[in-house]
Amino acid sequence: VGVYTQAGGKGSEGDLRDVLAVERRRSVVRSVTVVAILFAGFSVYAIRHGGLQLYVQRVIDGTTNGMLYGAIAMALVLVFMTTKTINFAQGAMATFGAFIAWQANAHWGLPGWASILVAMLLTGLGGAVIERTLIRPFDPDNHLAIVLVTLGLYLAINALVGYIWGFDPRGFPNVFPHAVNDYVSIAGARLYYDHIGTAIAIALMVVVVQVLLTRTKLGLAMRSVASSVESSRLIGIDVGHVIQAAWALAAASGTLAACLIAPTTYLEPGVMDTVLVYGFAAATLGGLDSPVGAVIGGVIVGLTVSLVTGYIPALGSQFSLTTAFLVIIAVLQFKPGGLFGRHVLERV
Amino acid sequence: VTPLTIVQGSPRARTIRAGVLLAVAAFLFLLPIVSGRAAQIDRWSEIAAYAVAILGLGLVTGYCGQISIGHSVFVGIGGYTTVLLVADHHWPYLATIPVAVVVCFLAGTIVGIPALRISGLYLVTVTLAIAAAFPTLIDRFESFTGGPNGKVAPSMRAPGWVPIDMNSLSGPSTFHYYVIVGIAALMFLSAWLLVRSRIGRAWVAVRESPYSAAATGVNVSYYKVYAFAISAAFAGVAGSLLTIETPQVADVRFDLYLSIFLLVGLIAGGRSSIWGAIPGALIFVILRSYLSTWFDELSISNGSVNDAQLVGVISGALLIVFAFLLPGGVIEGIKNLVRPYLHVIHRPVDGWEQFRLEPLTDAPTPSGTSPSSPLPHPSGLPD
Repeated sequence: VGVYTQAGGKGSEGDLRDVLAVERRRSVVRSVTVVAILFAGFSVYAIRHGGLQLYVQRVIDGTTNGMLYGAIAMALVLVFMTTKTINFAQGAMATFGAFIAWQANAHWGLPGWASILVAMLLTGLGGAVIERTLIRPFDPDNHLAIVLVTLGLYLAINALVGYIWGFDPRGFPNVFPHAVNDYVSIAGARLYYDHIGTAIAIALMVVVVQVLLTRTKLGLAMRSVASSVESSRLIGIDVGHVIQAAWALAAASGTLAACLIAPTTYLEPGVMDTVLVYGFAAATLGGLDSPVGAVIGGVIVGLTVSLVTGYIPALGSQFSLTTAFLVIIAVLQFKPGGLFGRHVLERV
Repeated sequence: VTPLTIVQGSPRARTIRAGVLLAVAAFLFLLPIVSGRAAQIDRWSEIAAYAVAILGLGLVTGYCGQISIGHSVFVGIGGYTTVLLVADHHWPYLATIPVAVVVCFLAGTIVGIPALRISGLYLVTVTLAIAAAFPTLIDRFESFTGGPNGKVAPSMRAPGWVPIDMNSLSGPSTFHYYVIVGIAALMFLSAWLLVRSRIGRAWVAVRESPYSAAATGVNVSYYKVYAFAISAAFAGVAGSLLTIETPQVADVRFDLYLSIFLLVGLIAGGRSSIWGAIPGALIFVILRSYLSTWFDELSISNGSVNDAQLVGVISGALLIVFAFLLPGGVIEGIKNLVRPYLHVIHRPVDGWEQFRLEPLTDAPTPSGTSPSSPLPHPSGLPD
């Protein structure tokens, strides 16, 4: 099987210009332009139809939700990059983490941010243990077995959360200022401080992951494993440990996402169920092998859901999940690799 | 112990097969008469209906190797088709089943084409999204589907010539049981014919290696979409059968968990054989219906309402345990147990001799090469 990929964002010098890299950049520019034109067109319709204030409010809400979808999508992508499988238990693991954070805050007396850090640490550890015990024994190409294990984990962890903590919705500590008047006004629309805080926290997470991937030895190893497991093994990378690190990182960032989502509603066992679907849409849109693309994909999905269900009265809010489904279908139809993903060619 | 040897296709094998079939038919016929209670008979019907759903899932996941966690949607479409046609348009129950087949086949094609054109795990993602979205769509079209309140159809009545007393306590359940088991048997027969045909062989080829299948002339995406659409049609029939047993539908009846539990049933039962659907459906119904009742009665943590959650923990653990220890499911376990005592000699395919390759030394030496030099590889492939 020959896989055409290219490494690095920057073009190589001289005569060694990578034709595929150039083509890929063109393709990204093309598809981003198409999305931008669609968005601009719909915005004109929306502002004429419902006024500027409502439009800005929906854009703010959509972007905030989209950042949250992007955070969980990034966790999915971190696992997919290295293992080429999808962790269906990601949402359940994140919910478990959020409940640990709640427990740490409410019963162990830790402040909000410290309890989130403790939960991230513990779930990161849990992710590493799960990878070592349940995932690594399988041949990485045995997708069916790995998907079954993650689905089993999804069922078991979800039910375990319900068994331990029950189904009563709980308030989750909000670490950002969240009083009624904590907002800035943009064209009459309200941008709350905790929305800004959430966006900053997720942006920080993206920066940390990106620095880790591009500037550290572990990140180099991860990108190498993402490119080819066989070659990585040949140059002496401990593939198992790299995948384990990816699982730990994914579990921790998923927990952060859940801890940021929980204050927007309540904390209950099903809190991540629908978010996970939006996360899949975001990851598919951004490209399943691009962590930054996943967050951008998340924002686009958030905006699409917010604007489409808000401005097309025939659809309404019950169409949110269907919109996510249609986004996935549209991406697979028109740009199967996602906006920022790599197009992988395979041959016999 | 010397194993019992059977040559496939021999008169002895035919006799044994006919005997087994007769015994199974007699068992299925006598089951409602022996078990008696209506609730118990309903449970058998449920197992038969879910067996058809798991059978359908087995065609796409077991035979074609594509994982779907969206089959609750097709079971749901089948169920809604039957209930809507019976309740609102006064169709007879049996006439709605072909409609459910066609609708689900089309729905499966529409979902399958974008998801299966590309290799990878996209079908799982797409089916997860559609399974999560289906209940919200049901609520969206409330005037048509009944939304969260659901929709109820009049129960299926037996025609006059059926010798079952429909006014007795277990009469309706018994009649529904025979209808459901009869149709389920037909579905198993068609699945059996399907997997033995050219289509079934193409599916297995796609599962084992899509690239080799494509290289030997199998249209991979076509067969994947075909498997998914057929499997959706089977799930649709299962939905119709479920509504014959309980003629009501609601949004919560067809949620994502139904899909995942169908997959649990398939894996636990055995995905490599269509007969795995039967133990699979048994496990499915035990997990979904009996276990939660048992846990409620046991009341492990002092009657907390969360005890029912242990079912989820056990089901998830079961899925993982089967993936690790017995990937072929219960049916493989049975085969392993029987193997020392029963030896089946498979009959070679008719006319296989014409494909037999000539031995290398008999091949005519190409002129111009000296006989002493090593012969070129017959197909010209590199070693």
